[in-house]
Amino acid sequence: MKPMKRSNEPIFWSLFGAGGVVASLVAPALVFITGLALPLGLLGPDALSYERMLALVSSLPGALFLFVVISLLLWHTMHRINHSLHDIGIKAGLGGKVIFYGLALVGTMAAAYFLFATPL
Amino acid sequence: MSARNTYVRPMSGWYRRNPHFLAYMLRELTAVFLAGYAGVLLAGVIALTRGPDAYAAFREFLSSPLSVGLHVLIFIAALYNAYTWFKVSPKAMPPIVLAGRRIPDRVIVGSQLVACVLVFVAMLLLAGMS
Repeated sequence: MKPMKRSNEPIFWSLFGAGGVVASLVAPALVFITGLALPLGLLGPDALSYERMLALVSSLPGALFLFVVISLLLWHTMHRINHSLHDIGIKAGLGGKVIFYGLALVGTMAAAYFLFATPL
Repeated sequence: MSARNTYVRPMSGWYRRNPHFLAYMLRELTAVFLAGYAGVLLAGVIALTRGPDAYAAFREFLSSPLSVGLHVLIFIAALYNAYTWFKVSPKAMPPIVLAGRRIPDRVIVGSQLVACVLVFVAMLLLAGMS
C-alpha cells in the first residue's frame, strides 16, 4: 500500500482562519473609513493625507499592519472563492488551487515589495 | 455493453431551494467583495509609493460615485461576513471552561461583537484626528 500523501490543507486553512479574524474585526472599520467616511467628508481635513499616510507606511508598525491586512484578506478570500467553485458545479481541482492561491501569493509579494522594499 | 444510464439528481440552482443554503452562498459571495477591497488597499499603497500625484489620483478614484457605490456593497458584505464569522466561532473553537462551567456561546459571540465595535470606534478616531 502506498503511504497516504500528507494534505497541504492545514496551511491554507490556517491562513484562511487568520484572514477571517482580520476580515471580521478590522475590515468593516477600514472599508468604512477609506471607502465611505473619507470620500463623503466625514473625517477631518487632513485625514488620510499624503503626508500622514507616508508617515504610516514608513513606520514599521504601520507597514506591518497594512501588509497583514492585505495579505491575509487575500488568503482568506482566495481560499473561500476556490472552495465555492465546487458549490456552483465547477470542478477546478489543482488548477483552482494554483490560480487562487497563486493570486494570494502574488498579492502578498506585491504588498511586501511596495511596503518594505520600495524607497519612499 | 450499453452505457449506464444512472439518474443523476440535477444540482443547478440548489442553493435557491432552502433559505439556509442561500445564506451560505451569500456568505461565500462576500469573499469576492473583500478580495476587491484588498486590491483597493494594495492600489492605495502602490499609489503612495509613486508620489503625491499618484496618491491624489487614488483619492480622486475613491471619491467617484462608482467607488462610493461599490464601497457601500463592500461594507455590507464585510458586516455580513463578520456577523457569520462571529456566529460560527463557538462551533469552530474548543470549549472554554472557566471555574468548572463552559462559557456559553452567546458570551463568545457577544464579546467578539463588542471587540468589533471597539476596533471600529478606535480606528475611526485614529483616522479622523487631524
